[in-house]
Amino acid sequence: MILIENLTKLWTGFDWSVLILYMVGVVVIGLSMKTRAGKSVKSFYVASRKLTVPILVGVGAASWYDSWTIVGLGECGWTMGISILLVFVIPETLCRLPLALVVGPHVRDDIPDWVVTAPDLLMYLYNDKVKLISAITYIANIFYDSALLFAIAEVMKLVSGMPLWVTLAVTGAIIALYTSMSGFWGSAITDLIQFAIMTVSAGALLIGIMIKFGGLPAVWAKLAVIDPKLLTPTGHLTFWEGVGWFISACAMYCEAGCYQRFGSARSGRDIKTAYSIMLAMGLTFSIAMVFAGMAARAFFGGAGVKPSYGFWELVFTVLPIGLRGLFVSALFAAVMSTIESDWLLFSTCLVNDIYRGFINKGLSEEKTVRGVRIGIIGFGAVTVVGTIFWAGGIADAWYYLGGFLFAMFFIPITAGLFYRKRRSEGALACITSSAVLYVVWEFILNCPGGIPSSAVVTVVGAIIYFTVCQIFYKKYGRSSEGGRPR
Amino acid sequence: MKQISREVLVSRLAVAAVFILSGLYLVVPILGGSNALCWLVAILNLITGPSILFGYINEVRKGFFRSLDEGGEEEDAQDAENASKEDAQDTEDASEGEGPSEDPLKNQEESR
Repeated sequence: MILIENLTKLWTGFDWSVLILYMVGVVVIGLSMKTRAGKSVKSFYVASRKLTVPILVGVGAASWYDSWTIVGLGECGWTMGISILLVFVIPETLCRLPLALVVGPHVRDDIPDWVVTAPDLLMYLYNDKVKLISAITYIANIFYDSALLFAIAEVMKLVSGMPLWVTLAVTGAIIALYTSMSGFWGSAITDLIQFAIMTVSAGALLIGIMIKFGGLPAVWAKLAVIDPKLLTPTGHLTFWEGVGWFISACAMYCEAGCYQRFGSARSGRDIKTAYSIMLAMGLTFSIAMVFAGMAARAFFGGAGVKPSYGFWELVFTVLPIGLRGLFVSALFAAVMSTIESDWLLFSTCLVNDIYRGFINKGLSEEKTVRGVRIGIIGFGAVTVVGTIFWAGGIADAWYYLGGFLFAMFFIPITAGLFYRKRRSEGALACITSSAVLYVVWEFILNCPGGIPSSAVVTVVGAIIYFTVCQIFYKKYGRSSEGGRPR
Repeated sequence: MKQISREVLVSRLAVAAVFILSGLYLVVPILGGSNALCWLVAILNLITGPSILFGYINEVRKGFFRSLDEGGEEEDAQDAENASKEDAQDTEDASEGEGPSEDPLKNQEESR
């Protein structure tokens, strides 16, 4: 077993070279896409809606599988064993199939071209009040990006001894630089590279585990002694904890970057093909991370060892020089792909949706793109400062932040796309009641009975939404043009 | 027609793969640690990412960006012209104190 403090001695100049090469590469790509991205808001935000299947697979995967998939699922493999497969990994994949096969193509093919962002979509479905609320809420999700950024800063400190603030500042600056220059065009191309690095690193890690320790039979044998429940389908989970995880698997339906990716596709058919392929790949990648986490627990799970530290002990033990750098690059890649997408979204929400939509409606395309670029840099700075909230680890980041987003917008978005009687009154009632109920149930009542807030809010929110829609539909009929589902 | 059929076939195969792999990844670990499964996951991960990258490189070689520049310039010019017209109309409306124009970014009043 390697002691934690020795990891920095294992981090070599070659590993640094691999990481630096990756960083330089993404900046160069950003520079090369600057002109193309700056043509219009549509070009900057959704790559002019021209992305084809291979690129869509890459951007979709890099968006849906971020650093939480690497570090978070690794931690879940450590603490929950195979139960995470039953309550989250498999349900997440299957729940996202309708998103890939039905929702995505519908959004791309049947929604007007001016709908560029998720708040635009909500305005198309309901009205500008819903748009404003959603724009502000999505921007507040910047704290999740802080969690992601903190994760890689912790890793860099662990493996190289680099101070946290240096990694935060340098990584934040690089992301802000290439995202502000190239918008979604740069993101799309770098996502491809990032996805390739992520999967190759995962494959190399598993092969390393098999060579070094004898593979999964040895892991299972060790875990059977350490904690046999880790090898059972339900593990240590209570029923309601399992329900909470299951519901969080549906959170992607509310994720704004998801709809941005749909909007960037060439056609709905391309989305069906690309996202089906991507789901199979992403599932396999997620499984690799769970197995890695379990292996880390089996061989490095000493008393008092934190899951995140044990995981990186595993990585540095089984991977040779160079591949360690590649794996760290994979983590950077996963983080950067999510963060760049979020900053692009937040800035577009702020400048295009809020400022241009409500305050200065005469703002030109050129000034809007310039404003978005400046906004990206601003959000970068806020994200770096916000990392102070996540010193305790990011495993809960998606659970809380994703849960809040899910609580407010899952029903209005998914029902709104297909429900013929949708009304903005129903959406507003659902959103506001869900936000209040989530805070009360989660933080004030502390989930009485162990019932997760996501479960309660989803059920109550759905009842409120459909009831209010039904009442106002009976009274006033269908909403006006621009909101009619197919 | 042949192009569409191939895409539909690929999509259906991918969906089938999702279900098959989901079952495999759920059931096999419950039965015990399997190196066959580990090799499968490892090899799939090693080939999937690079294969997508090669697919993109292949598209670029076929002229993806060239076709964008040829056809996209006209579309971008039209978009820019439309955007300029909307900007000018909004400015004119604002200066004359008129109500909102038919701007797709503006919400339409719900029918009452």
